[in-house]
Amino acid sequence: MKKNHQQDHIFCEKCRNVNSSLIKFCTQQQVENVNYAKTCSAYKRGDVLFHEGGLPLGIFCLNSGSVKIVKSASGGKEQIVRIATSGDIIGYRSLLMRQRYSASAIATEDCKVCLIPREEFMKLTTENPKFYDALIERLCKELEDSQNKMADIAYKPVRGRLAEALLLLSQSNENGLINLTREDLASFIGTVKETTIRLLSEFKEEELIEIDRRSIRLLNVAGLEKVSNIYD
Amino acid sequence: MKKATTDNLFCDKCKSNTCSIIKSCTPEQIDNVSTNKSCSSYKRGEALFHEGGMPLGLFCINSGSVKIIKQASGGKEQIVRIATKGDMVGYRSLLMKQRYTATAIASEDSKVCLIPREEFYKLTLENHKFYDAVIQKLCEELEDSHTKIADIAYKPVRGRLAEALLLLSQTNSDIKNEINLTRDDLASFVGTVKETTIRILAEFKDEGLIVLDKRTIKLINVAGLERISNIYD
Repeated sequence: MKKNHQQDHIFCEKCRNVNSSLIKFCTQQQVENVNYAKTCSAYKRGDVLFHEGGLPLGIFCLNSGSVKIVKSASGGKEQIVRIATSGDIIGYRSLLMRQRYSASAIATEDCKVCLIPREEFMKLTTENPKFYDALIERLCKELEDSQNKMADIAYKPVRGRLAEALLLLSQSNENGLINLTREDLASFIGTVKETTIRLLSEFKEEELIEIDRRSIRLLNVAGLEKVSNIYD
Repeated sequence: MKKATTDNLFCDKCKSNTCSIIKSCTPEQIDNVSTNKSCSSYKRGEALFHEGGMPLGLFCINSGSVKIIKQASGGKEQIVRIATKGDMVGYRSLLMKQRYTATAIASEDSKVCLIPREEFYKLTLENHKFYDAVIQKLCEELEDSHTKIADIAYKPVRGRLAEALLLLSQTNSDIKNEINLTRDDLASFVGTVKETTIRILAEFKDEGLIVLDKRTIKLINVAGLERISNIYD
C-alpha cells in the first residue's frame, strides 16, 4: 500500500477544532503526550484510512476534509453509515470493544488526519473521566442519529430522504457545497445511483438546488425542508 | 398510570446471566440495587416509557420482551430493537441526561425492574467495570443499528424477514424456535408493511420453512431460513 503523504505536524492545542474536540478535556501534560505520540497524515479523496475487518491501531481525528464510514451490504453494495467531518473522531468504537473494524473509512475529499495510537487513547480513557464521558456522549449521539436514520430508510420516501441528506451534508461543509459523488450520495441515503440522479434533476428543475459539475449548492433551504418533512 | 407491582425479584436470584448488573457488581452493590428497585408486570401493549419523557431510572427486563420504537414517516413505527431477558432499556437517555428519544412497549407480558436513576448514577461512578459494561452495550447497539440500516437499505425483504425470524427465535429463550410477535410488530421490526410480511410468511409456510399457529410462528427449517437470509450477500 502506498505510503500516505507526510503531513506537517498539527499541534492539538493549535488545532482549528480545538473548541469542539475532545482535547479540551485534557490536561496540559496529556495534550503534550498526545502531540508526541500521534502521527499526522494527508489523505487524498478515495484513500482508505482503514478497512472493514482490520485491527484497530488507534483513533483517527479528522482535522479537515471528510471521510465516509461504509459497511458492506447485501449484493456487494455499500451503505454509508455516516460521514465524518472536521473535529470528528473515527474508529473509537472498535477500540473500546477490542474488536476489528466493522466498517471501512474512506476519504471523500482531501483530508488531514491525526492518528492517536491505541495505548495513548486507552490511557486517556482510564486516566481522564471527563474525556471518557465526553467520548461516551459522542457515542450516544451517534446511536441516536443511527436509529433516526434506520426509521427514515425504512419508511421515508426516497425524495424526502434525499432532501434531508442534502440539508445535513451542506451544514457540515464550510461553504455549504456538497461535493459527494452520486454513488456516495446514493449509498448515504440507501438507494441506487440512478434514483439519486433522477431526483437531483427534479430538485434542480424545481429550483431547490443548483448543480455545477459535481458540486451541489442549495438554493431553497425552506423548500428542501418542506420536502424532507412532508411525509412526517 | 399505576403499574401492577409484582413481588420483588431479587437480583441475585434473577435467572438471567446476561445482565450487566449481576456480572459486574459486588454482592453489596447487588444488594443495594435489589433493595432500591421496584418491580412491575407489564401486559402486552403497555408502555414502559414514551418518547419525550424524562428518564426515571434503568429498566431491566426479567422476563418477556419489550420493543423500542421510533416514530417514522407517515405515522409508521420502526422497531429499532427488541429487548429481552437480562437486557437494559433506557440507559442511553440516563447517560446523556436527556429525554427519551424512543418509546418502549411490552411486546408480550413482561416482568421489568426499575432501578432509580440516582442508584444507577452511583453505580456508574463507583464501579468502573459496570460503567464499562454499559458502554459495551452501547457499542453493540450501535453496531447492530449500522448493520440493520445496511440491511434495510439493500437486503431484499424476503432475506430480511428470514433473518429477523432467526434472530427473534434465538432471543426467546423460553421456547426455542418460536416467535410470538404480532404481524404489525414483525413488519415494524423488519422495516416493511404488514401486508408484505403476511404475504412472505405465507410463502415461507408453503416452502415448509415455518409453521403458523394463530399468532405463534414456529421455525421448522432453520438451515433453509439461514440460506434465504444469506443468499443475497
